[in-house]
Parts: sequence; structure tokens; C-alpha cells
Amino acid sequence: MVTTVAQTGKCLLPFAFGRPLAEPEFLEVQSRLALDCFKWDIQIGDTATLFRQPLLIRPAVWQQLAKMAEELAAEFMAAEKEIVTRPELYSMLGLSPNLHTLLSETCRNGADAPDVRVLRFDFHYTSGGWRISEVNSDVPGGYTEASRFPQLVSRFTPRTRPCGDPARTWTDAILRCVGTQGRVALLSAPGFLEDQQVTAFLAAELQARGVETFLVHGPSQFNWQGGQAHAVHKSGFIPLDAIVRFYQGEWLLKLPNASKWKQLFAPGKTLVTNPGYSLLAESKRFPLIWDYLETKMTCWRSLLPESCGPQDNRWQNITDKSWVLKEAFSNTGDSIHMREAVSARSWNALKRTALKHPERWVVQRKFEISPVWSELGWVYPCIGVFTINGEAAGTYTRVGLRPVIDYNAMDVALLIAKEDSDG
Amino acid sequence: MDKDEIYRIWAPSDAPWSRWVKPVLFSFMDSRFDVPRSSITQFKTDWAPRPGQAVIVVDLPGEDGVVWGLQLTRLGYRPIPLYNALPFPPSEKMFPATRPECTVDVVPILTALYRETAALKEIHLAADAPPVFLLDADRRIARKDPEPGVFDNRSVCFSTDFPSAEFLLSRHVTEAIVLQRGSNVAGDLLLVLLEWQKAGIQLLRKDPMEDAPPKPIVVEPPSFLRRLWYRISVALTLRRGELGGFGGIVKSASG
Repeated sequence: MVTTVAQTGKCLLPFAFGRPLAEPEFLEVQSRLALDCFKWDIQIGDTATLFRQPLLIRPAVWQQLAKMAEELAAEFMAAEKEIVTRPELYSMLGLSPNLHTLLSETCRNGADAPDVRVLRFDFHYTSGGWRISEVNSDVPGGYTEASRFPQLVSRFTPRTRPCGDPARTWTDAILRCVGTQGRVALLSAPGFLEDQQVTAFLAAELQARGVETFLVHGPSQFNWQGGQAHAVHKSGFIPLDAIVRFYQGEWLLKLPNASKWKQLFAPGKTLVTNPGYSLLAESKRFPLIWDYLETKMTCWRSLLPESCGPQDNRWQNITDKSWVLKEAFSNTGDSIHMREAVSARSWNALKRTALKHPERWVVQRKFEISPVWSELGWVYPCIGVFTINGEAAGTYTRVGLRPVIDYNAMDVALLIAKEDSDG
Repeated sequence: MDKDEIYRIWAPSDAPWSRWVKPVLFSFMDSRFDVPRSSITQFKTDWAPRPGQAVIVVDLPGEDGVVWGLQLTRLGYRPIPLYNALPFPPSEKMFPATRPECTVDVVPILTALYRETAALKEIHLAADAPPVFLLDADRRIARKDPEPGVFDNRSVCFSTDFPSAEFLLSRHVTEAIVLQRGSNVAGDLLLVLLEWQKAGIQLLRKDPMEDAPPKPIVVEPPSFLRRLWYRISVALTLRRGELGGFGGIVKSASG
């Protein structure tokens, strides 16, 4: 029987690491992921990204995480529906002014269209219980790591099973929209292999179910006719049923108009998922508008740490190290700043920058992530729970050697340890 | 040989540098492609130091990088392919006739890696043989505009594609030789070399077309004016086909 509660410091953890994979097992997992599942970033700098030990949880812990994620998703999507119809909130979110008109028109016409909506909530276990650091609502990634990696590791870890298969759930959802003879383009930025590996993986999942796919590396490569996107192929113009957008919204905004990126935000005959308006509540300033919404953000308020704008007095004391400064639009750990990680001079410079453009920043109460013991020593887990159309679908789990999840983080297979009663 | 065997010949599990081998092109080894003979027959490698405290970065176009890498392997260096580009969409693996045109011709690199695998297998390298990193000098340049219907497979290298300066120093590496044509270091590679140089690693450059031995170089961050001119030239579409020069799009990946 696997023990899934570990003693660390002062608190009992709801998870523990299992046995590390033996070398031949690990090489097999690594090869299958790299050669068959499009996991091409198995090494980043000096960090081997695949963690050899699975993180084990009990079924009840997964049920709790799934329930919280689904409540967060329900509140989030209700709030988003409100926000899209209230352009006066856009600037509070730090959204670029040149998007206000575009988004308000889009949202008036298209926010209720059928959709495949993927969210990923990043959970951390702290001395105060579960907390979330953010939602990835624009272009959440980690499908291979959340789907195939746990499956492969589970084969070598007796009496365990993955939490889910987000890639399969996502494919099912796309198929419900486009049908088995559908045509789907998957869009990512040129030159970014870490993004292209995501679209290549999802394309392969769709192809295996009969869908024709096209990998596209820039919005200018679409041909638009009457609101319908077409892929250009040797055989001619191919009308597209859907575009899977794995191109960050804030990057699109920086492209020239000639690239026709605005078509991706406009309602049309081609489904775009995640939709352009996903960018709105991707803002880390999202909690600053809750008091202006009808939606009661009950679950969010209980799980997201206290947040305020840079002009708020609560965090101004230089000796107060309990706050984190975050850029409104950033989706790696690179734009998260902690007082103890920088000099007083750098911290003051950051504060000045934030106060000069307060709409681009948010300040959040820091939480203490409980570390868990591994073969590499203490590590800090982040469990990213996917919801697809509001239902929990699996987890993209990472661990950091520091309490920040950034590009140095390692991917972990989160597995449910079967209990004796499971048979 | 299947793609697993090919991958493990290039990235043996007991070699400390293997983990930097990029698996992208190896995942395409089960594609349908022709394997032409190498077009390069003349090599001079007497400039290369005996394997010890130097690493080599080969930044040459197309298959040249692979072929030169194998020549240096015969001197005792371990080839570490860092090719970061897709040769064609994975859906076209088995259908050469319907593959779209690409901005960068990566197929010759794929076929060179395949062709040279047998030769590499026969070379008995020490597990800790120092690395020769292989890059495609054409990676950022679109030979064809990325217009609709063209597969845009341009790529850039990041400092995270390489070992850190600290790791190199821990393996007693004191110099890095860049094998490339001409004197201009590519903008993306420049950022890598700057980090190594800052840590005290001596940089040298060698042109394979010249007889001169490797020359020490000092790389410098691009000046404000040079960055400004670069941005203006991009805005004026003078460099429409170039990706990621001087931080042009060097950002973190998505979600």
C-alpha cells in the first residue's frame, strides 16, 4: 500500500512521491514521450524536465481538487460573460486600449457561440491548505505532460492510475464541434518549438480520430472569405471548421494589422478556441474587478490570495516581505517578483515601474508553499488542474526547486494511488 | 534501424552531454524520405584541439553541420544535434508528394543525421567525450516568404538549448570554438556566447573555408543603435525573412 500523506515541517501533506523509475523504465518513458508524443523539451538548460518520481495522491484528494477546479471554472466563465459586455472594466484589467472596441464588438456578437473552453488552474498546497496562484485561460499548455506522461509512468508504478486524459477529453470536445470529417488548423508562433510541440501533439490526436489538420505558424497564413478561415494547401483552399489558437493573445496584439490577427477575435464561421476574449480574464488583475461583478466569486475568494493594485498602501512598506509583484499579462514565472529575491534597490525600482504604470501590475499576498521531499531534496509542487468545458479533465503537474514555477520547473506524473478498497 | 535505435546512437544514455540532444528530428526518422550522398568531401580538421577543455559549436547551413560534426567526432568529440525545427508537418510524414514548401530546408539535415548514424555507431567515443554542438546556420532565414500555404519552420536557438556556463566550467571547459562561415555571429547564438564569455570561457571563431587557425574573439551585446536599426529594418520589411535577431521575438513560450 502506498502512503500518500507525508510529514514535512509542521503540516501533513496530501501527497507524497512514489518510487523513482528505474533507469530502463525512465529511458523508455523519455523515448516514448520524445519520439512518439512530441515532448521535445526534455532538457531546458541544465534541467532535465521529466521528474523520475511520480507524485501520488489519494482518490479523495483528486475529487477535492476536481471539485474546486469545477467551481472555479463555473465562477470564472460566469464572470467572463459579464466582463465581455462591460467594456468599462477592460482598462482595469490592464487590457491594451486598441483592443477595447474590437473586443466589445466581438463579445456583443459572439460570446455565446459554441466553444471548446480550456482552463488550467494552478494549485499549490500551503500551510493554510490549498491555494491557487492563477488561471491559464488564454493558451493553457501541458497536454502531453498531463495525458501521456502519467499513463507511461503509471505502467511502471503498480496500483496507480492517472487523474485523467485531458488530450482525449479535448479531442472529444473538438469532435463534437467539427465532426469526424472536420478540418482544423492549429496556430502557434513561428520559432517557438515549445508551443509547436503542443500543436503537433494535439494535431496528431485529432488525426487519429479522422480529422484533417494543418499546422500554421502565423495568422497571416490564413485566407479569410466572408468570416470563414481557409488553410492554403497544394490542393487549394481548404475551409476550416476550427482554429486551435495556441498563440498568446498579447503576442497577437503586437503583430501588424496586415497579418489579419483581428479576424481571430471576430465572430465568424470558423470556431476559434480558446476564443479571443479569453485574454480578458487571463489578466492577473482579474481579482481587482470582482467587487464590480454580479457573480459571487466565492470559491475564488477562498483560494486566491489577497490582491491589490500597486497604488494600494498595504504593500508599500519596504520591510514587508509578504507581497509578490506580478505583471498583469505574463504566463511564466519570469514576471513574478518577490522582495526577498531582489535587492532593496531593485525592489524600489520595480515599485517605481509598477507605480508609473499601475494598470500593468498587480500585488498579491505571498503564500508559503509546503515543500515535499524527493530524491532531489525538497521541491515545491504546482498542480495545474485542467477543466474542459467546465469539467475537470486531469492535471499538468510541475515541481520547482524554488517556490516559484518558472522555466526551470520539472514535469511530474501525478497519479492516484489505489486504496485497498479499490480492489 | 528504427527511430529509437537511431536516437540512442546519437544520445547514448551513459554520455553526460546526451541530454542536450534535441529529439525533434529523431521523431521524424520514421518518415518517408530519400537519403542522398553527402555533397561535401573536403575537410581540414587539423585546427581542432585534441579533445580536452574545448567545446565546439558548428553553425553551418543544412547538412554541412552534420557532416562536419561527424568529422570532429572522428577526432574524439561527441556530436550533439541542437536542431530545433520541424522538417515538415508531422501529418505529412508518409506523403512526400503533398508536403508543403517550407521557409527553411530542414530535410537535408534529417537525411544527413539518418545517413551518418551508421558511421557514428562505428566510432567508439569515450562516454565523457567533449561536445560538438550542431546548429543550422539557415535556421532563422526564410528562403521563401511565409505566405499562406508555406510551412514556416524557421527556428531560433536559446541559451536554454545549451548547458550553462556553470555546467561547462564544472566539466573543466575553458574555451568554445565557433565553426561558421564569415565573421558575423548569429544574433541568437550571440546571446548564448555572451553568457559563456561572461563566465570566463574563451571564445574562438574558425571559418571552414579558410586555412587560418581559430581566432580568439570577444563578443559584445548589440548596441542601442544597432538594436534600433534592426527594429527599423524589420519594420521596413528589409529583413522580412529573419527571425529572432537581437531579441526580436525572444520571449517565453506559451502557457
